[in-house]
Amino acid sequence: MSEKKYWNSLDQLNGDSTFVEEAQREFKSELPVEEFLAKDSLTDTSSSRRDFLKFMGFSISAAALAACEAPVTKALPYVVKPEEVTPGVANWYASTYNNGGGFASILVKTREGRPIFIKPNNAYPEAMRGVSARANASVIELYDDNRYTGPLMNGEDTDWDTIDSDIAIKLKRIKAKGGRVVVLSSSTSSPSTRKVYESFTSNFSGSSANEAEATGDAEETDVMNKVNDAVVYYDAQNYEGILSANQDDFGVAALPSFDFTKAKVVVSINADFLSSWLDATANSKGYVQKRNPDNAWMSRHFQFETNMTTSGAAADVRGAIKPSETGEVAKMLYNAIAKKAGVVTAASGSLANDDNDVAAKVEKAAGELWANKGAGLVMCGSNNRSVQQVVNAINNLLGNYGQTISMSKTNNLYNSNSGLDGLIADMKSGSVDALIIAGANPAYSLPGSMGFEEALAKVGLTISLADRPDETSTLCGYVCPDNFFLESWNDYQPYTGVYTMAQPTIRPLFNTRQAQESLLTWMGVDANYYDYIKSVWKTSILSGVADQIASDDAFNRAQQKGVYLITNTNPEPQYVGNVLNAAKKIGVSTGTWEAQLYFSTAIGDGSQANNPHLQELPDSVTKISWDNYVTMAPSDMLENGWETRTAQETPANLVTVTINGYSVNLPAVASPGQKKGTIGIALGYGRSVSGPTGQTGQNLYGSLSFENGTYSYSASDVSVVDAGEKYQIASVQTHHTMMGRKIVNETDFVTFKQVDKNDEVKGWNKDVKLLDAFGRDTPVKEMNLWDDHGIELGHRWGLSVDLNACTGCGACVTACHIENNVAVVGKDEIRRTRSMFWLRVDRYYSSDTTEENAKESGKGVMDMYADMEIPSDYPEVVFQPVMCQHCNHAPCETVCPVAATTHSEEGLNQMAYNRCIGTRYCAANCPYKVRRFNWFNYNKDPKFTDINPSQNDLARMVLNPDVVVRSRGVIEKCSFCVQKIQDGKLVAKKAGRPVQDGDVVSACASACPTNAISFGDLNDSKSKVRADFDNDRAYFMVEEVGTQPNVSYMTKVRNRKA
Amino acid sequence: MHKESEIRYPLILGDKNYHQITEDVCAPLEGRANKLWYLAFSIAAVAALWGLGCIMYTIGRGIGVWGLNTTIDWAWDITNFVWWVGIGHAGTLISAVLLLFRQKWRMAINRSAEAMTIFAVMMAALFPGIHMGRIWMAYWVFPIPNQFGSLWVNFNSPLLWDVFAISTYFSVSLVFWYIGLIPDFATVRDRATRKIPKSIYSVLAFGWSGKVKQWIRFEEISLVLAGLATPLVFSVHSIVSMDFATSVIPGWHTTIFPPYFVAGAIFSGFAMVQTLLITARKVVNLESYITRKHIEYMNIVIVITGSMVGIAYLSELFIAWYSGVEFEQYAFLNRATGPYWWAYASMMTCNVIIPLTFFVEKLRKNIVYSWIISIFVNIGMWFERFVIIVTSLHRDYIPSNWTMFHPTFVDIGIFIGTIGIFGVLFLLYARTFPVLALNELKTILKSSGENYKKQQH
Repeated sequence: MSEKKYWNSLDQLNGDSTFVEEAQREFKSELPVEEFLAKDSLTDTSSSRRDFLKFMGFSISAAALAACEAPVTKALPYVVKPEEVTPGVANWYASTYNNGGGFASILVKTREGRPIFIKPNNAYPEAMRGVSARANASVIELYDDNRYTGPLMNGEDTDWDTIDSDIAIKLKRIKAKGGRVVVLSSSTSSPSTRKVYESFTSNFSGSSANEAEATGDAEETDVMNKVNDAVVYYDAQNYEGILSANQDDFGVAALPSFDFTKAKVVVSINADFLSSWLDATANSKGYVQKRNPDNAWMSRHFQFETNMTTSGAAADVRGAIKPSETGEVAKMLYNAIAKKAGVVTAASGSLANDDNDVAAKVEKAAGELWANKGAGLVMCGSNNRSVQQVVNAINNLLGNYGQTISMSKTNNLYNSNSGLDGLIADMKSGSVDALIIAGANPAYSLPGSMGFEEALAKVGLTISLADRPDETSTLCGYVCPDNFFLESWNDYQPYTGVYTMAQPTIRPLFNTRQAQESLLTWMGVDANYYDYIKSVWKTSILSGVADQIASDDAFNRAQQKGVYLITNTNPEPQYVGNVLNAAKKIGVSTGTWEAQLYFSTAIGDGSQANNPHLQELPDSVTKISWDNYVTMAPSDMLENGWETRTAQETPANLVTVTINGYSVNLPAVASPGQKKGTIGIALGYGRSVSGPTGQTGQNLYGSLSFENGTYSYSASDVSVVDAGEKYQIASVQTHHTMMGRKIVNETDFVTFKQVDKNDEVKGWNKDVKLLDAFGRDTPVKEMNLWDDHGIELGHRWGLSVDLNACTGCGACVTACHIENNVAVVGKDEIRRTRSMFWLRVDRYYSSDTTEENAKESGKGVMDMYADMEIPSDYPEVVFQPVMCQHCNHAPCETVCPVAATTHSEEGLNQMAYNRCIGTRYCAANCPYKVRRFNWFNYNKDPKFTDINPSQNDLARMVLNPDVVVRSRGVIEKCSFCVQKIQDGKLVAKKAGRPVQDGDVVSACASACPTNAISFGDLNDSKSKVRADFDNDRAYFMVEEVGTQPNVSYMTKVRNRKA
Repeated sequence: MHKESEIRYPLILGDKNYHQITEDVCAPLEGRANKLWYLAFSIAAVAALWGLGCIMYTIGRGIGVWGLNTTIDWAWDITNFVWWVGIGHAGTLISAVLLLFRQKWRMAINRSAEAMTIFAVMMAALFPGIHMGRIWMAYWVFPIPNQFGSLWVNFNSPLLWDVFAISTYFSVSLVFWYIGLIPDFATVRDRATRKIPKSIYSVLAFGWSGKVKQWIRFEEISLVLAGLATPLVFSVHSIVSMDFATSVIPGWHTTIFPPYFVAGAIFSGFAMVQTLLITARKVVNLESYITRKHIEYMNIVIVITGSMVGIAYLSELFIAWYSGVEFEQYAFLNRATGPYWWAYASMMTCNVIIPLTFFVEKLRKNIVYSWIISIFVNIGMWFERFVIIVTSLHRDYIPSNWTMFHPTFVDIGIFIGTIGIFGVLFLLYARTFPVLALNELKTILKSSGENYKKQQH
């Protein structure tokens, strides 16, 4: 310590007493308090009456100000800025989404360390690339405050050390007595995860006979679907029928991969391969590539199905069949082809009540398949082994294996569920000592008759690795929550030779631990999962790379790019099936009512049910959100006198549906195209343990019959009875036909190829002309009331939508919502037609009545329009994404009294929220009705507390910081992702080059799995969007209004034989 | 002095002299209100409070408490707005146009008609305000210098034209009304005995002393204001109609709208005057001044404007067919036969068919019948605006947007509330203002008074 002393003054140095006294006083001089407070000598004091008023004023305002709660703003700057984080600049990380069978190789956008957006990873093979609505909306589940925040022991919070030692002791005891430890997991294609499972179970299964299998080398991808009693896979949506059929026919229980780009004829029997069957995103991508009429050829698509699905909507020929006829149609198709091939045919019956020429359509499909041998693709959604064997036989007869279908490059997303039956039996008998459940939720998705819950109660040690509470984890003694996938490391092998990686994009938000790491910990392995993956890769996938450095490098690059590809050299397995035997086994059990259960695009198997964006995303076909319901043929409903409308004040009839003895009450909804006498109901609803958002609809899993690891998603033991009640449903679209208008322009392939678009008689996309004041035909563009905006200089942003490529999946809608912080408004508001969708996907059914046939039959104009409102029994269906059209002559811009919406120099119709006073005149005057009004303060109003993420402190973190959250009373709408435009321009500017096509991609365009949406600069002659605008198929919606939109649509062309 | 043919029907009945007129008109101001007044006032006040509550709820929570939706962005709010503005047309027409045409019968009704105008325009002006998403920013519609940089209003927007039209109309009407009141306030002031009313009325009377010079000025300013106000009668509703006519929505985008709306406005305005005055003449004993003849005159205006409106309805249908535009054709077909056919049918019945009965002389002279018809016309004109606004919006270009409108209790509450507020204002007016232009009436007593006509014999 220094002895030095500093002093302020000589007084202090001298220790003057007055100084000491002074120093202890806060104020040097006496405060004149007494002076002006003194009662008697008020006049003598120096503070006058004015001073008094000043003091009064000051103290009152000071008190008042103190009473106001000053907002506490916490802005903590980085003390040491991480090298890769620049505030305001997004970082993108490659990762993988895999949930409930949905798979996507993704890029995750993080801003200031927070993942906020998911888009497809360009490193993934183009033909399979894409994100579904579920994949891009999953980012918000990271911020779900319903997640487990730490480990739980018998429902009590605990810490990892306690729970780990507790579990380790119990496992040790089980091992010591030779007990049985089983991992029950949802399907995984992850080589490392499977390795963890197997080493874990082999480590603990004392005397189990199954132990031997678990110790193979890491090349177990080949034995991916091998049954292993110690590791049981279970999925709510499984493909046991195909797996077992392939086991019989090829000796491999594997799912095939498809190459749609080689398929000239696509036939699907009850398989909704564009939205829910196998890897639907990859299917759509490949399928759509050959649906482009500008190519030399366009595939033909036959769809035979019960419910109206997106695949049926895309089809050129659609036949409506009962679920029980699925096998029958497969047999008919086989027989027709067998006849042509001169092979023995199988016994086949006929279709009862064939009201839409299915037999003829099957015959036609067979003819075309035969004419395109080796270029056909037949798929079937049945989970029946024999039916799938017949389908295999068809594909084999046509020589499709090795061409459009590959059994050597397998789809590994679904494992066999065949071990489940045995597991539950063992659990019931008490021979399972420990059950570790990862990813699976059998308590929700297994029929009650399976007795999973009582079986679980008999297991001594139950551990759930779920990341959020579900029906199963709440029954488990221990909950060791997994990280969310955006917080995790992992690897995947979705297809043979295709590897993808998952890497954390944020530190775990809660006290959670990666599931694999938990298992490793309990095994006593002191390795983190990242190192584990690395070692697995080095010994298997990268084992061919000799050099240590090259191997490290390859692994790091795989991690960084998210994708690692190796050439598939496996030979095609031989077909050894016996189709006649299989065909014999196809029994037909019909019922007066039959049911086909399905997985909706948005909710899927229900594992993501608590995601408000997915609940709000309407079903592609019915356009209903927030519920599941019974889809029925409108004629069936009218016979029963049930409400077929879905408007605000026309509640649906509740019906009691009994399937296989399991009853639920659900609203009945008209779905034109539904086979008469059948119903369809979505699975994945009716979650009982999830956040408040997820508990919508009814659980239909209970009605499934489950045998030998196989669900049957259809049933013939069905009754439908009026429950005598009404039920409000929320539909975003309440009018279903196009009323003879050219909203979606459609033509057929032959006309498209042979006829000029402006042909007088058969022109399929005529230029819109109106009569001018002198009666001359004038192109609409030349009829201007206003001066044109300068559109030749600089950028002019435009967007084109290829209606041939749009499958109606809705991925663009959720991507748009998440990118632009669009509010989720919930069922009641959707019901009132107040959705906030900046981008909606309209769906139209065709009607039997057209202007032409009405004229021919002499129908009056009133009758004609009335009949046009009624969709056909088996209609054609079209989808049309509609967003702000960014009109060059925008009706909204002229009418705003305060000029809150204006035209930018780059062609954007832009909205200044701050200036908007909310007269809604712009919205009323919009021909497309794409403007959205903030009816409430969605960020504060109590009505939206449970559903709108922006009301939740945690979920709010997903909001895009580049986009303002709108307050109530203002209009909002599609901005063409103006924040992305600015970003793209900046990137180009920094790189010192002009903006190129691809620098700016709107959220919808980036999300679209089929590239139906293109975004770019119309003034860039090389841009895709420019080419689209100049394409013969391009047209503008209601162009005759003269709005001159910057969004064009490309005529839909069906490959119909005229 | 003005001479009038003796066969003309007298405009002031009974044995009246100047003093008697003053007595009759001032009686309600000086006497106590009867039970009927209190009853009516209570009902109106309850409705008004309910409406104010609904307005406060709307402002507090958001426009979402109404039944509007993404497709139908305007419904009852703008319907009510146009309805009230339309009603507000009669006053100026009666006081300005009829003054210029020297229609003496207007003197018995112009005061109340103008009062009604003022109150109706106040009710109308309420709606564009409360229908805004952010009413606290409503002042942005005025072209006032501001702190936001160079932000200015959008002069292309018909809503802005509305702001100018309505505010001009309101201020001119108010001034015109007030100027007319000055001599009568002076009369009331001179008769007032209690101190407070006397001082209030003396402020209101602006020191009027009845000098000839003042009367000359009075007559001149009345003429000038009448000249100013006359174009406004036509401009206001023309401009209101342009909210719709300049849009692109089928059913709105119609060049016929300005004259059609003006005719409709006069039609509805007269109907409302009829409703109020037939009631008032009974309640405050003004049968001598508001005579059967006055009612008949007004019925004639009603039947003529009603027929004009009817022709407009039919020409709309014709033009829709003639245009060959499918959206236009469907819009009108849908109006008549679509889901809102009942609104169209109510409109047609109340506005076109029922008023045609006034061609029968006996019926248009029947006071009770006239009152009932006036109610029908009020209802019909409300439906006209509803039909134009809602049925055009609910099915426009893109069928996927088509939907229906369902009002909530707030929509209904606010509408009833404005009727309540209007009622409260009118009832207070009836107790505190000279409800007839008593000094003007005196000018026609000797030419058109019944007893004077008899004396001339």
